[in-house]
Amino acid sequence: MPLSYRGCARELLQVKGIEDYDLIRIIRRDGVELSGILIPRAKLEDDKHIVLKLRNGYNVGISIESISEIELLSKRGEIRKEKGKITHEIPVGKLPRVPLIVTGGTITSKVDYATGAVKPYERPEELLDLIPEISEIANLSYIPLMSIFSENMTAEQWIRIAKEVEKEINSGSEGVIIAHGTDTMHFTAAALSFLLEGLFKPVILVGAQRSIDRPSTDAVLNLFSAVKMAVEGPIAESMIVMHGSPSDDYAYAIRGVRARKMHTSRRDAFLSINEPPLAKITRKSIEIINKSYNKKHMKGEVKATEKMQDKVALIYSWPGISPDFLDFIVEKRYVGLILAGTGLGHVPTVLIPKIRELTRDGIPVVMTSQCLFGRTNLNVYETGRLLLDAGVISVGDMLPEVALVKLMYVMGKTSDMEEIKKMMGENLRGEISKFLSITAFPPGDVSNVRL
Amino acid sequence: MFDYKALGLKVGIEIHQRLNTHKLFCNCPSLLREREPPLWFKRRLRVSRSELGLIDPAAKFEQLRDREFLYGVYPDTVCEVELDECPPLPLNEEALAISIEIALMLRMSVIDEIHVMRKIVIDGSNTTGFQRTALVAVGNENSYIETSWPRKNKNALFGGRIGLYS
Repeated sequence: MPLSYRGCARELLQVKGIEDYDLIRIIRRDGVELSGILIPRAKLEDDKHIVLKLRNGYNVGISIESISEIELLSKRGEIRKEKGKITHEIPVGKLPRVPLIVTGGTITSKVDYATGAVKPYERPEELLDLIPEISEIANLSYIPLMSIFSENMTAEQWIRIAKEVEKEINSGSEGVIIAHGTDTMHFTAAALSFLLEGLFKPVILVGAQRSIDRPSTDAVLNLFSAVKMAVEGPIAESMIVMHGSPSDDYAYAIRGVRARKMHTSRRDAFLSINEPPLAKITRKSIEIINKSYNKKHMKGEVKATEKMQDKVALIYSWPGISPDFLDFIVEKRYVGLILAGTGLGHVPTVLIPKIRELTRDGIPVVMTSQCLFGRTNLNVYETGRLLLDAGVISVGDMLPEVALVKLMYVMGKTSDMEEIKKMMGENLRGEISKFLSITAFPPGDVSNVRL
Repeated sequence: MFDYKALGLKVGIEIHQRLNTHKLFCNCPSLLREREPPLWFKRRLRVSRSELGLIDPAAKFEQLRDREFLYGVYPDTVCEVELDECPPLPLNEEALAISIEIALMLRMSVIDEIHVMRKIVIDGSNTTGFQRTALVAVGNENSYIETSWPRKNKNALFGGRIGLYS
C-alpha cells in the first residue's frame, strides 16, 4: 500500500513504516489513546493532520503536534483486497444482447478518499453487481470505452462512441446502453442522434445523480429502466433514460435532441423540452406517451458519420453585450456561431453590423432562444427583421445546445452556406417541431398527455 | 448469578439529544410536525460498499427484504438536502459549537480535525441510506460528569465520546 500523506505527516508516518490502511495506535499528549486504520488524506488538505478510522467506524483527524507516541499495530493491505470480490456473473443464454458502453461519470464513480472528490470507478463491473435483476431481462456485456467526466467530452469522443454503437448494432445487439456523466449527457445524446444515420435499434444514454457508493443511488432504477427500454421498447432513437421524479418509481425516455439537464442535482434533472417525454418506464411496463418516433426494426444497417466541424461556438447574449465580444470568432478562426438570444431570438441591435460581417465572410450565425421553451421568430420585432436581413438563421424551437451540435454535424458534411442554411432549418431528428402542444409547457406532470 | 464485579463488567449509557438549532446539513428549521404530510416520495435502498470496500452483513440482510420506503414531506420545512436531492451544505456551526461546549464542560478532549463520515443504515431511517456522523470529542482520564450521586470514580467519562449525526 502506498502512503498518500505529504510533508510533516508523511515524515512522521514513514519513519514507522506506516502506509495507507495500516492499523495504527496513537497516544496523544493528553493521554487519549486512539487506534484505527490510517485513511488516505486528500491531496488538497494540509499536512498537519492524520486521519484514522476508529474501530467504532468514526473518522477522526489528529493533529501531528498533539501526538506523543505512534505505533504500527498491523499491516492491513488485505482489507483492500477483499474489494476485488465480484459476485456478478455475465449470463449466457437466449436473452437479447445489450452492450453497456462505459464512458465515465457518476454512474461509474465513487468517493475517492485520497482526494475527497467523486472519481471514476477502478472496476465498473461493480455496477452490475449492484443490480442483479438486469440479468433476468438482458444479456448485458460490458465495454469500457473511456473513463472521463462528461464536461471533458469533445466532438472527437462523440464520434468514437458513435462508431462503437455502429459496430454493436450492426453485429446484432438489440440496443445499446451508454453510461455517461450527466453534465453534458444531452449534448452527447443530440450528437448521437445526428451522427447515427439509419438507426434501427435503441441507443440509450444513462447516468446517475447519486454515485453508486450510496445506498440511495438512482443508478439502479436508471440502469434497469434503460435496459428494459432497450430490450422491450419500440423506439429506435438516441434517448436519455433517467428518473421521472424524486421517487424510485419510474423513469422517462426523452428524445436525445429534446433532453436538457435542468437541475444541478435532482434525480429527475432531465426534462423533455417542447414535447412530452417519449415513454414512461416502470419496473413492470413501458407506456408510450409520444407516438411520433422512429420505429425499431429487426434488420437494417446503421452508419456512424465520422466527421464534425468543432470550430463552432455558442454565445449566450446579455443586456449590454458588446460587439467586440464577437471579434474572437474571426480572430480564433471559428467557422460557425450559435447565438442563444433573448425572447423570440434577439440580441442588442449594436451587434447586428458585426453579425452581418460574419455571415458575409461565410460564417453561419444561428439564432436560438434562452427561453428554451417555444420557438424563435424573427419576423415580429424590428430587431428580428434586421437580424434576418443580416443573414441570421432562425431555427424555431431547437435548443441552443442541440443547434451547436447540429451545426458541427452539418458543417462536417458541407461548407456551402446555402446547404448549411437548408439543413439547419430542416427537421432531421425531431429537433424542430411542426406542432407545439399546449401541454408541453410548463413541463412536469404528463399523466394526461398523450400525443 | 454472575459476579459482575469479578467479571469486570462496565456499563455505559448513550444519550441522544436533539439540538434546538436548524438542521445539521441544511438551513431548514428542525420542527416536529403534527399534520399529515402533503407530499410523499418513495425510495428503495441498495447496500453499497464502505470506503474500505466492505459490505455490512446487516445492511445486506435489510436489502434482501426488498422494501420500499415512503417519506412524507412538508415543503416549508423540508428541502432538497433531506430528500437526498442535492449535496449537503456545510455542517451547522451552531450545533458544532454546542457540542464542543458540552465536551469542554465535561473536560473531554476535542478532536483536532472533525470529519463527517457515512454510517450505512438501510433500514429506511434516512433517505440517503446512511447517517452523516462526526465524532467531536473523546473522554480522557480527567473527564467526568457531576451528578447528585457521590463521585466515586473520578474518570467516569474515560472512553466516552460526543458525536453529531443527522
